[in-house]
Formats: sequence, structure tokens, C-alpha cells
Amino acid sequence: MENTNVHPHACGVMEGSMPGTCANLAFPYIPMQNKNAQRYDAADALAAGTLFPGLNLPFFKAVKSRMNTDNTPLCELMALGFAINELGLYLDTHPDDSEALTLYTKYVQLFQEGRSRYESMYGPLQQTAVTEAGYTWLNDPWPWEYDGGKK
Amino acid sequence: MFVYEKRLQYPVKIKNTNPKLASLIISQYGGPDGELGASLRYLSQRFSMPYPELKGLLTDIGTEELGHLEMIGTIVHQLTRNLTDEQIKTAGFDAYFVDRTAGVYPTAASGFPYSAASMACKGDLIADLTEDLAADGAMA
Repeated sequence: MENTNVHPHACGVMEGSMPGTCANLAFPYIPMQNKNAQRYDAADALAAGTLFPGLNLPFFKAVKSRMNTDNTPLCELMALGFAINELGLYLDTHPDDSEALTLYTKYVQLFQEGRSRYESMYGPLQQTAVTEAGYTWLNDPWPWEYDGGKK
Repeated sequence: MFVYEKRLQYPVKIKNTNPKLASLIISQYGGPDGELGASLRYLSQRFSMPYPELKGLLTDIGTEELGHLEMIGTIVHQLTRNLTDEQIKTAGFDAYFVDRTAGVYPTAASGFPYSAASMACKGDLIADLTEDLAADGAMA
């Protein structure tokens, strides 16, 4: 039995059409992010909610105002920490991207130095960071409190 | 093993009390597509993942979701700070308050407590990842 409506560039029996190409039927797909993906700097990433301009896809493309953070030592640490989170997830799927790995290593080092500096001035960010002031882990504010992020 | 860092992932500082808003945002804490569900979904699904990339991704995303959970809890906590008697009676928040006062309880906005019935963990790579798309795509 011959189907006379077959398009000259029709896909195979096990395939369906995609824009400009054919692909296996019934398989959902997600395109792989390219290596050396373009990146924001850490502060812009924290404001945008992603390190990658290509993944900056606001809900229903709503144009949002930028969520800038204060210019405090803690916010700088948050920006570095966020860039490290994002790069870490990227490296999970792109472990061979040496440029991203170099940046990751650099950010992690900066974060560790920044965290030690912050802890010596404002108190521990981890329970194990005992400072000269003694066991100050319990000191207010905790992160969820209204003035928890003032420094 | 998990290590706590005494900071939020992104700063939260809410000046104005708004219990009505809190009664809706609580769904992102303990609702069907909330951060608690996301954490448990990823951290549970990873045990049966066959590939290192997926073991890593689910571990690392599931961990980050715990940080999101803390931010949402902080938002609800600060929105219900220093409530007045009148604010407690706010329509939409009054029913929450009678059960939980200003405690941050993992529940959907509808009042249904957090339920693992809103997530799946099937031990099958395609089934689990497809469920992740449905859940996190609904409310990223």
C-alpha cells in the first residue's frame, strides 16, 4: 500500500519531522548547552538568577526589573557562591570544558578566602569556623531574620 | 553528608508585613511543586541513576533546592513578622494562623500538608527525568 501524500523530504518510518530535520518518534529532547557557553560576571549572575545569558528565560518572557543586591561583603560572597553553584552544575554535564574548570577553581579559591575574611570580621558562616571571639555560632542574626543579611 | 552555611543563597529583607501574600507563597515551601518536594525528588531519585552526570546533577541540584527552601521559609517568616490583631484576621491567612500561628509549616496554599504523593521516584531514568521536567517546569 503506497501513501501518495508522502512529502519528497519525508522522514523515515520511525521518525517524525522537526524544524529543518527529522528525529526519532516519541523521544523528547533537550538541546545540550554548548561548551564555552557565554557567561555573566558573578554579580550580574546573582541579579539575573543564572550565570548564562542563554538560559536567562524569564517566566512567560516577562520583562523583570533587575534584582540588584546591596554592595556588602555578604552579598559579594553570595554572588561568588552563586557563580560556583552554576558553574558546578555546568561542569556536571561539561566536565571537559577546561576554561569553565579554570574559572570554577578561581572562584572557589576566591570564595574560600572571602569566607575566611568575612568570618574573622562578622562571625562564623560554618559551625566549624571558630574565631578568636570563641564559640559565636549561636550569635544573632540568623539568615532568616529581618536583619540577617545586613553586613 | 550535608554541611550548613549560615547565609541565604540570595538576600531576603522584607520591610512590610503581608500575611495574605505569605498564605500564597507558603505553597512554594510545601506545596505540590514547592522546594521541599524538589529537594526530596532529586535527592531520592539519584540513588537509582545509572550515569555519573545524573548522580552528580541530582545531588547538586537537590542540595541547591534546600537553599531555595530556606529562602522561601525566610520570605514567609518575614511577611508574618510583628502581626497585629487585625492582620491575623486577614482573609486567606486567618485559617493558616488558627492551625500554625506564625510557624512556617510545609503546606500547600490550599491547606493540604506537604505530601510525597505529589512527587514520583520510579527507579527508571526516563520516567524520573520526565517527572522532573513536569514538576520544575511548572514552577521553576
